[in-house]
Amino acid sequence: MRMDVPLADDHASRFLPWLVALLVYLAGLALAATLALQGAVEKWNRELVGTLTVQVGGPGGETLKAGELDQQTAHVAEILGRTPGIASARVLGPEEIAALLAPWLGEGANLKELPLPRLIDVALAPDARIDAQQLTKELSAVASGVNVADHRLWLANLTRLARSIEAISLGVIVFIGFVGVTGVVFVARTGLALHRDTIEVLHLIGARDGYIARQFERHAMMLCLKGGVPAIALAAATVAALDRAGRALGPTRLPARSLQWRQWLALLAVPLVATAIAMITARVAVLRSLARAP
Amino acid sequence: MAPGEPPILRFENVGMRYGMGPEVISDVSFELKRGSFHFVMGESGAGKSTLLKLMYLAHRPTRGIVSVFGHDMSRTPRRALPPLRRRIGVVFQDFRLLDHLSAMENVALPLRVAGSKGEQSRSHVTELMNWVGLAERMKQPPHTLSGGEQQRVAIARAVINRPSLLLADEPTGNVDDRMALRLLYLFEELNKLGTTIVIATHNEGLVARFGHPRLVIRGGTVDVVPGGAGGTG
Ligand SMILES: Nc1ncnc2c1ncn2[C@@H]1O[C@H](COP(=O)(O)OP(=O)(O)OP(=O)(O)O)[C@@H](O)[C@H]1O
Ligand SMILES: [Mg+2]
Repeated sequence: MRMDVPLADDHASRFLPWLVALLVYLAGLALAATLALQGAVEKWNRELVGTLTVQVGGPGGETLKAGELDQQTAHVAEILGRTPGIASARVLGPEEIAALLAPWLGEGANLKELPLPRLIDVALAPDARIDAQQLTKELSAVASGVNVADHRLWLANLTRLARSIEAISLGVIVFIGFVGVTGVVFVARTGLALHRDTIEVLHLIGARDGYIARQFERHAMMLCLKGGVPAIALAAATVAALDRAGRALGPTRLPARSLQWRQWLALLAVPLVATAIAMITARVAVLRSLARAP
Repeated sequence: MAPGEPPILRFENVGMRYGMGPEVISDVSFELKRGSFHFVMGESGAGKSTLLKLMYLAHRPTRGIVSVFGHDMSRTPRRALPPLRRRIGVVFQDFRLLDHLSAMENVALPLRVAGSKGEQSRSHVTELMNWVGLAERMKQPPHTLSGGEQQRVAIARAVINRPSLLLADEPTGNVDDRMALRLLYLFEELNKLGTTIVIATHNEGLVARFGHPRLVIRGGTVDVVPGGAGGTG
């Protein structure tokens, strides 16, 4: 539809889609990073909360012979099985250890040659309170090189780190929004000045401020979609490419896919939210300017 | 009209200056009754356009009271102006057509602004374009039309909404006498249907021919001169 105020020909209108494209792209990446991080933290929480890993023959026990090591490991597992608050204790087999080490050593590494410690996977009873230090002391009485890894501490640190990164991303997104809003206000003000005559004629034949503001609103919408839609497609392609590159590295502790479909939807909503913000901004900027006229 | 009916336009001790300049008109007082037809006369620069601008609410007076449809402009808030302006049709001296729209879209603009749409208004626009003799030029943008053609587009836009008050600033300045007469007959028709009309013009011959009362601006003041002989023949 042809507009009553010919905003589309303004010079300022030409730069806005590029600005929006850049901002939407950056905001899309920031959002994707935040969502991926949340996904990873959730996965680790799900898998690791309520578990401990006990290591036998680690630092301080490297000199043990394989037979002694197996014997001590079995003893430790037995004690763990009797400890209150522990639901089960299971000694990991060589293949499982190999799988755990694959991210660091690559698949098919010959582990038999390496003096590896034994690992016991411990499942805690719900709400169990286990003092890792106390447990280490008790187990050290029957085995050497004992180490109790409490994932909860590690997870808490990791979660704190993830929260800080999220806060930073949020800050970046807010800043991006601020820059976008400033751009839209600038374009609206320029349009008002440039088309003052046309706007005066519209007023004189009975147009309300809202009618004129709607023209700017629609204009902002078109410019935003024009810049935002290709930009988010590019951002999605970037995320997908990083995903593929990540999978090419082989097994990692990261989720196989960085984003779930819900999160993809959130990503695709970025240009729509940007467009809504731009429309509201244009409307408010125009109404406020017009209200200042006599 | 019924006695005691409020005037459609009332000026009371009105003064108007642009910025810090001298008063263009001072101490102007008069009333226009509903359904009346007036010519505004005066030399170039006398203040005809200024007077009309006050009537079509482009400016508020520097002093005094301008009252339109019974609304005192010094007390009418901005947001109350659009409904009043929709009842006023204006032919601007410099036309003020929008160049990025076609002639037809320009004519339809007051309808669009007022929120009416649909088939009925479109046929109304076509009918009016026919009437001013621009049916074949409807799709063209104004800057491809001659001065007289643009003037007729401006007139069509001013009357499309069936205004109760029609203000025309030199509406026949760019057309030949035959077309000028034709346009004045259009105004005459509208007047018979109840539209109050004020036309600023230099064209003494035309004014004499129609014999309507005149608002004569001289030295910044306005005198109302009653209509003389002539009639509408
Ligand atoms: N926007 C403006 N700013 C400053 N002065 C103005 C403005 N508009 C008009 N004037 C001055 O007001 C006076 C009256 O102008 P106006 O346009 O009302 O005259 P007019 O009778 O319509 O003349 P014309 O017959 O040439 O159209 C002139 O001296 C003009 O210089
Ligand atoms: Mg004039």
